[in-house]
Amino acid sequence: MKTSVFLEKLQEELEEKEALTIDTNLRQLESYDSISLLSVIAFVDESFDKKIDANYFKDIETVSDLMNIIGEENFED
Amino acid sequence: MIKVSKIEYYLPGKVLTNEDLEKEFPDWSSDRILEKVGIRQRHISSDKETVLELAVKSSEKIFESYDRNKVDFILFCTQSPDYFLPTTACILQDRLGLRRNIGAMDFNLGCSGFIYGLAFAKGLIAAGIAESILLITSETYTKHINSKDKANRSIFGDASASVIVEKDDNARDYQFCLGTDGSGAENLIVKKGAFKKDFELNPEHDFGPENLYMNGPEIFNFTIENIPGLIKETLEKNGLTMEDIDHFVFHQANSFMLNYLRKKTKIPAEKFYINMENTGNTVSATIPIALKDMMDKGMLKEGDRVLMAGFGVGYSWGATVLNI
Repeated sequence: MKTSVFLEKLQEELEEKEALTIDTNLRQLESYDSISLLSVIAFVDESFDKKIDANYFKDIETVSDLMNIIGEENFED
Repeated sequence: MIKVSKIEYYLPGKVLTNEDLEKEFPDWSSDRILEKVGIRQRHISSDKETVLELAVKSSEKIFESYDRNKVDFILFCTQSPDYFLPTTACILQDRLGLRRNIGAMDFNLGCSGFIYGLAFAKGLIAAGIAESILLITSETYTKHINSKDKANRSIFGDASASVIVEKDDNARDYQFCLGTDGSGAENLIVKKGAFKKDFELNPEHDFGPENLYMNGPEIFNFTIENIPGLIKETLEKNGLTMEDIDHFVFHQANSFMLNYLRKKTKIPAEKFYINMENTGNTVSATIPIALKDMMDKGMLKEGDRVLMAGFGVGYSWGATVLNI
């Protein structure tokens, strides 16, 4: 998936008004809470057929951390 | 083989609304709770309203139009019993004035409990042990929840459902698919209260060892991994396709999870029931509550073929088909 498309889709899933960048700190987003984690899990399962181990969420701060867990090979510039 | 001939439920009087939660937790938006988890309010049992008391209420509704002397077995599903011992179902026999020459037992399961109860009932009927079974799923999870735990307080509500499962020689013999994976035990658990003492707390999420702990994201992962396969397996085992099913009634966990499972399993939205707006997630009681509500609304007609699936704490899951 193109990184730009990923950023747009993630923004939509998280219902964020502002555009996301790979450096956006997810935890500082107003709408990021325990319900958002479910949105992220569903989004990643649907788009990449990948499971995110819930234990990883404590290490995910930025969008790029999330992308690393999904796997760099799934993204193109 | 079997039919479910009566369904009733009872909800405690006290109601906790999203607005009540928002007042207590100002960063928690009532609109967001409704939009994401599909719950507007849940019913909360008082100290005096135990699973036994709730079960008396839901069962007495059954006996308004069913002869209590026909009941020859009580199956009682709960994870918040009145006592360690005796068995809740035994006390209930006396409270309901049922015959004494009947069987009664409790079983400890959560969100899969109603499906397992139907499986036990079928086994008892097939073996000739019983013909009219009072199956009760009564749960007061809110007693397990810490008052500061806004996430779990938003999701769970208390309720008791009572159904009669009877022998029916004309009913089709549908099969069950059951599943278990104890490796997920730690993700939905109340650690303290029984006799294990050397438990470890999860410092990030545990409110107290006596409280309900739920790792929501991991539970969601568990359902994504197992439930689509469960539905496929249940259809295959019964020689049915998606088109043969009139309604899919899953355990009403939360609407976000259900919507995603529906999409992933490719079940048409019009056949998929989601409604926990006024009750919340009532654990093993959600499926019979959904069936009763569907009947009352005229959505479920006599003879309709329903695929039911329950899944959660354990992990434990199960599904079957019935003509209601």
